[in-house]
Amino acid sequence: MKLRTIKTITLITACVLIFSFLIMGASCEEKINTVTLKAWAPNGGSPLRRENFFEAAEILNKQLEAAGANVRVKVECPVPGGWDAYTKANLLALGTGEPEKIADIMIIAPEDVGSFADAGYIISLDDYIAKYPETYTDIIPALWVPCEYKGKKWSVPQDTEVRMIYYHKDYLTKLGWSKNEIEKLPEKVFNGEFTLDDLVGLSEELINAGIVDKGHGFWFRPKPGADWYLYMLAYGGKLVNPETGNLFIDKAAYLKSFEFMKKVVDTGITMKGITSLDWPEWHQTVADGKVGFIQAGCYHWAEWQFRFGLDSEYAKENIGYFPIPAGVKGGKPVSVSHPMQATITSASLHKDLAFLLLTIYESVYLNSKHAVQSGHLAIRESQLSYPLYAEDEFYVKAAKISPISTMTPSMTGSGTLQKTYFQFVEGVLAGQLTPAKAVELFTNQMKSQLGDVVEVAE
Amino acid sequence: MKRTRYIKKFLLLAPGLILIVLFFVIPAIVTTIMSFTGMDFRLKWNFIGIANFYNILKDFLVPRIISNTAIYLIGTLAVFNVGLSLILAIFTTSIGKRPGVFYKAIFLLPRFTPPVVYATIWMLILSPTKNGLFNSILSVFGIHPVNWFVEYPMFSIILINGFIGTSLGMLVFSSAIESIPGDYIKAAEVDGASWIQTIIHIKLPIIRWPLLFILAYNSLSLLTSYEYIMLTTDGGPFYSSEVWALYAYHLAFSSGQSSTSFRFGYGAALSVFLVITGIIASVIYWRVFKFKEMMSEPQIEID
Repeated sequence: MKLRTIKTITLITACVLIFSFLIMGASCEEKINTVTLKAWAPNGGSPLRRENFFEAAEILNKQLEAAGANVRVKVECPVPGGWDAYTKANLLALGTGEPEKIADIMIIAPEDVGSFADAGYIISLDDYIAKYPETYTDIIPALWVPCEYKGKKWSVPQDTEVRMIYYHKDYLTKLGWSKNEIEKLPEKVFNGEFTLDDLVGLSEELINAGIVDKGHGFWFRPKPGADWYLYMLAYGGKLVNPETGNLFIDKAAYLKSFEFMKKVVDTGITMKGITSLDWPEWHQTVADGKVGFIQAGCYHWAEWQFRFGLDSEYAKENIGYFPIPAGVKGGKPVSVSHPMQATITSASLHKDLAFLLLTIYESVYLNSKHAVQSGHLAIRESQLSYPLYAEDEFYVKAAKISPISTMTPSMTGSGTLQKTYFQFVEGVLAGQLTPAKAVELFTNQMKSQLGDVVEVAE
Repeated sequence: MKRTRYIKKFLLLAPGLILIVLFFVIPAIVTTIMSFTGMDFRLKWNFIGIANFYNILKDFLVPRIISNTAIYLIGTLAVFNVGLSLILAIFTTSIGKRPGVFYKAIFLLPRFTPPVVYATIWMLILSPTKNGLFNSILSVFGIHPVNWFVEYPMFSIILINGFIGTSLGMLVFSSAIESIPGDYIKAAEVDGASWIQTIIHIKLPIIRWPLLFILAYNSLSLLTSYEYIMLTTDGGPFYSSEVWALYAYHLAFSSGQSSTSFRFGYGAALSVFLVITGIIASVIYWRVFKFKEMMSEPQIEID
């Protein structure tokens, strides 16, 4: 009887112990807390801009597990529509002020950084950036410009690119240029020896020699974009007054840029109304080699080869590129960049974790994958020698233009300035506005729409 | 008994009324309220009185946009929605049933084509390069390529929109012509009337109601339509094909990559003018064109 009692007690104790262990085990499982982070990114020709967030989450979760942390991350990243749909979805969510509807991480255009900061939509990232020096001290310094507003950093650069002019080396050979002269052309552009006027002259020569058709000597991009600032910048203009930090319109530089646009149409090197072409036809004509000089982005290089049939071997051998030449002899060549910006929203309930995820997303590995796939350039010095990035010579060479590139300004009104400027550019290119009339109307329009946000130098 | 009749009438009208209230009355009221605000990307209802309307009066683009809208509306209506529709209706009802149906089907194609595809086809037809269809034809005669969208922006958008509107008018008019009793035509022919005379003196007077309906319906529809313009010229170059509805859209809903250039308040104020113009036009059509009379009893005799 006694033995039986002992056996029963032992059995009950064992059951209690096993049960307790099971409960303890289960409760240990429950302690793993999964946090959902919403990361919103536009597509803009680069699926990895969005998809890299998922891979970043996988890497982060492995690191959290290895560190014994009881937190895991799940990423929600909706497939974006076009730019208009994406920006509207962001604004509607931000307008609610509700954390469950607003993204934790939001990729935005550089011209929105200041406005979003003023509206209280995004947080200053200085303290967060300081926590991860191994990632952020390596960022190419010029790329911090659009991140900064009112003395603080509100974003980190997500990617970058440069705008340049492509040319056909074999067409110059047909004009009688020696190999040495052709190879030295980019150098002459960098030295300010080859100007925009020389570009016009050379384009005319290509047409006169019958190498390209009339109107096909030099082509701009056909649609709105930061590219249109290039010619104003080439004539010494600025987008921002460095002393006041305000948006800046230098009427003389804008006038010269409009005069240049009139000149390219009048001389017949650019077809009147180039802006009425749609992208596919523009790309195809360029990829077919029917245009002498082409102003485009570095991201078009891959697109022409993979989507529009430009032969890769031919491109490597015969297509060169240089920044936009200076407006006057001895001036400086220019380029512009429109680097997308990664921000953390004020509404985020998990700002630390969101920034940690973003820091992994910004890693050399993930950013290089995005850069190579979409034709973007390195945002970090170390990327230039990272095998995945460095194996394509084009990206390493194109990155040399980055240091002279002007960044799209981040302050309020920047988006309106860019959008409106294009309307007037289009008017001049179509012959509907004279350069003088265009600069007057453009300045008045900007003063009336932006008020004190913009400074005008007569 | 009387009450039951009213309830029945109300129930019969209810689905339509609900749709009108949901999709016209409420949006019109919200737009009107928004037009008194300076709402921007922050979506705040900050009331600024009549500042938006004052700014419209000062906007140097407004005269150009009004003139574009008038040319677009009158041009598309006169040449395509009524003119070409009527010609096609008379033509297709005069050549026998089978060929008539064939030609009608051809002109219905633009209606069946998704807008983006339709616009892309026109971009290729009117391309400024020598590869464009129109320019290829011109090159046969040794004529240099024409940049249609730049040299003739209004012509281009009227042409592109016109073929969409033509099909509706063509169907309505040809149905109306086919419902004219054959005796009328035969009697006239016996009396020596020519084909043209039967059209002028018999067919046109009889189909005047469908004509007025198409005129009224399409004018209101064109006033607010802009999708094909947006997909082709996008209002350019330099607002030369920008119509009122597209201008409002550009200000309120089109941003490109930037989220902060939206001007919802100003765009709403521009839209209010469209609502007012639409209401005034409807009242005019109702009273001047005597639409009540048209709807009261069948106007075309059916044998």
